[in-house]
Amino acid sequence: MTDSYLYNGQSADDHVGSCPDCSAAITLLDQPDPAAVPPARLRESVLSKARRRRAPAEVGVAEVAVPYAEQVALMDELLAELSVRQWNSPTARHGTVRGMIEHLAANDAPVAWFLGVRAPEPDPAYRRWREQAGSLLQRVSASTGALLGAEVELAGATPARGSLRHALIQRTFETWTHADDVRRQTGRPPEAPPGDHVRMIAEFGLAMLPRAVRGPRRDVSVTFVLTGPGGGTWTVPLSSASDRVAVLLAADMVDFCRLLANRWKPGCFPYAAEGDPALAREVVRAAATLGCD
Amino acid sequence: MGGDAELSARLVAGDLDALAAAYDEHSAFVYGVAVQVTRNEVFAEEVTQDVFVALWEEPLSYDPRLGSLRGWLVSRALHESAVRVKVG
Repeated sequence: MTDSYLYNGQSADDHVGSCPDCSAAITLLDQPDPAAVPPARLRESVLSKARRRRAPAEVGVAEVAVPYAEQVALMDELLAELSVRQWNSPTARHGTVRGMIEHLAANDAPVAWFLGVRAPEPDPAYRRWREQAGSLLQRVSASTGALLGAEVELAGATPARGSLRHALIQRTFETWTHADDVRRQTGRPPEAPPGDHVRMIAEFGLAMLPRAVRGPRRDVSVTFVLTGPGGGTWTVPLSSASDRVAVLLAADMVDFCRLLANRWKPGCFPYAAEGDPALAREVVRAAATLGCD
Repeated sequence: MGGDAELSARLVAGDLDALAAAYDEHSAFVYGVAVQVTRNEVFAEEVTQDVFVALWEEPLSYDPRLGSLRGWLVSRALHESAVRVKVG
């Protein structure tokens, strides 16, 4: 609404007479409950027009875009409330919260770049991360499912490439991990994504696991029993010639994802194992190297 | 996670069910404002349609940090209705 009457000498009444927004607002002041049920057919008209203006994300795209969008929204809520002191408070990794968000934006950048998003460099960390993540999501939601198979750079200490689908799951994973870092930094309890989102993250980590295991080649598999929402059982062959299960490892699903992020130290990670205890320890150590720090 | 931030995230991710959910939750308020201001049901339907389609087309234009989705939708409906009354 224009507020020019405040300084152009016009009285409020004169202004309202000539300003449609203010006239409309004043009309509503006397009617506190403006709800009125629209005709039933309007719902379909709205959705149909919306579909024509912007195609909904394909099912396979939405499956990875929605979890990422939710973590971005949660992180955005957390960052919006930070004081200057909190932005500059020292963190266990990446120096300060600001440094951590710069790191997150830098790890998002290859995926954003692949999708044609160019974030302005000189922007402050928060704005750069937020705009880049939002644009990335809009681009990916408008793309075809076939693009999810394209190969992009993954984040992490060891250079690796993977599908765009895996890269988006990794973005969800890292955004969640750093959102929990911010929660810890500001005295809030950690939060976990819904079970089906956590499950995608665990499956991403399990797919990466064999290449992180050190030592002599082992032609065996490891069975993981991960419990809690989204949990299940996965058998991961450590080589293509795997002929038997050498270890059964049981742990909480969310804890396992936090191990992948190296937010559980391998020596403290709570798990139960049956079979080869040395291999179980090596698998836990390897899992803790698959984060994005 | 829940509420407006979740709906906003799903809209950004291209989930049309999120628009349907937003419509089901808020359309009576959007349409209600439009009817009261325009005093014209055809205009009010156009306003309601434009407001929800705009949310879908540019989901980042709604920022959950700055207020409720209902408030955002109703203020847009108010503006659109006022313009229609003025233009006729």
